[in-house]
Amino acid sequence: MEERKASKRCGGVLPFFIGFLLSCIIGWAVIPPLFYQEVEQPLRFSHQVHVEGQGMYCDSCHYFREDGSYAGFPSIQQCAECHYVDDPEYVMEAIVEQVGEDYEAVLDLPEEEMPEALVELVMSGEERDRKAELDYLVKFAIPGKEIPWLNYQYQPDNVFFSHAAHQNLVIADLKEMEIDLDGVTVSKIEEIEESDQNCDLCHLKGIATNDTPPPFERNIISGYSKMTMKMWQCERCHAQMGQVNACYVCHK
Amino acid sequence: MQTKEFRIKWGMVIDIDKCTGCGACMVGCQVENNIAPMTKKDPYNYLQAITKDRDDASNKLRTMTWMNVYELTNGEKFPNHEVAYLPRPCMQCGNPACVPVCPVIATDKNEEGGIVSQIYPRCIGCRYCMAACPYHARYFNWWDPLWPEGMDKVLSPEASVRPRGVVEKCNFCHTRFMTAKEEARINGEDPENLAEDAYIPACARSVRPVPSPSAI
Repeated sequence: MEERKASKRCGGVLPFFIGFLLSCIIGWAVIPPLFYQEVEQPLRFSHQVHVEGQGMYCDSCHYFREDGSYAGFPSIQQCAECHYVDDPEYVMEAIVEQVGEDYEAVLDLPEEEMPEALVELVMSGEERDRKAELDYLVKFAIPGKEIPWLNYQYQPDNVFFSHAAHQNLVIADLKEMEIDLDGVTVSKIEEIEESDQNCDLCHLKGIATNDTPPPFERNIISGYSKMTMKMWQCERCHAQMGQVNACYVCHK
Repeated sequence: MQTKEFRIKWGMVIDIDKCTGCGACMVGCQVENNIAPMTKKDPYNYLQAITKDRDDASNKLRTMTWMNVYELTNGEKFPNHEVAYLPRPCMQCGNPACVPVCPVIATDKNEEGGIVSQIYPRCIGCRYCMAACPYHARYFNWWDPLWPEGMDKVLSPEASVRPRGVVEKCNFCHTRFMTAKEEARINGEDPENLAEDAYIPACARSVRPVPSPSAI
């Protein structure tokens, strides 16, 4: 009888469960997102406009160099193959004349009030695309600055990833692969989504055709991307494909 | 003694008779692998008044020289004095003494090619491997690397920089090996069957004439 009274005084097991549930929610759902900060890309680049609208191919911008290295993000020189600014100094002078030294302020003006020299460079039709293109022209193309793209697949600097080694991977094959390594079976990777493009294996799903790039999720402590591939994922696939998992296969 | 065998084994031969001790290989190595010059003052240390200076390069117990040229003399006076120079990279031993002693498997010899790997973020800095290495080819980072203003612009993307508290060593310019494999892949060649001179470490490259631009 004495013991029962004691347990009643503390409210029984219910408060314990509520506390347990609360700490689970806080630990799993509330705290982890606080470690990530969403950062927008410097420019609203639409793959859709370029791929579907203009019929460009992936390797128009993302291609292998002769030495086997991979040109990930295009430079503004490559952008200028289409978005050519004939006389950037002249356009800059026109902008400065309108808004003063802080040339980026020109983007706050309605399009009708922008200098003619700038507006005639814009090739897009839709309003939001025109806005993005003006962003590109004023912030990067005319002052001649490289675009500081945020790499969703950013890896620490001691990782050496070879695009050349992975270019012939086929996702459909990968889903079927099951191998036996000295009695240990590496089972199929079920969660890989089917896709025609093997880039989708590591890169964001559908990034090749999306209209507005999603924000980059940066870990506020390490600075690394949340969306990138982790070492265990690399290792699992290597094991499954019968590839070596020695340290120096990927590290430098 | 049992050695680890690999189908491919990269090696380097140094003709000691030809070595004049010029040190070009050491410089090539330091540049290629982002080995920081040691500076006494740390401009980012805001507590300099109450902390001691860092070691500079005059403290040879704490300098980093993955490739080190030793001077060997017979100790005699002129005219009997004789001198020889011995460049010493990591020997990439057949059965490396540093590997089994590592408590965290930060160092291993397991990749085709036979290069002894060192993974810096994994290293806990216990320095057991340094004690085990018979060639003194391993170095401990006593200080965070620091490049004088402007010199950080020449940092190479080929090697990751190491923080204070980890051990590092010659990696036989491993990134050059990886880029050689990449080039072979893109040219339709077998990356596991590279030509003998498909890749040459920076130390050897800095002391031998360049055969052709494509081979660099």
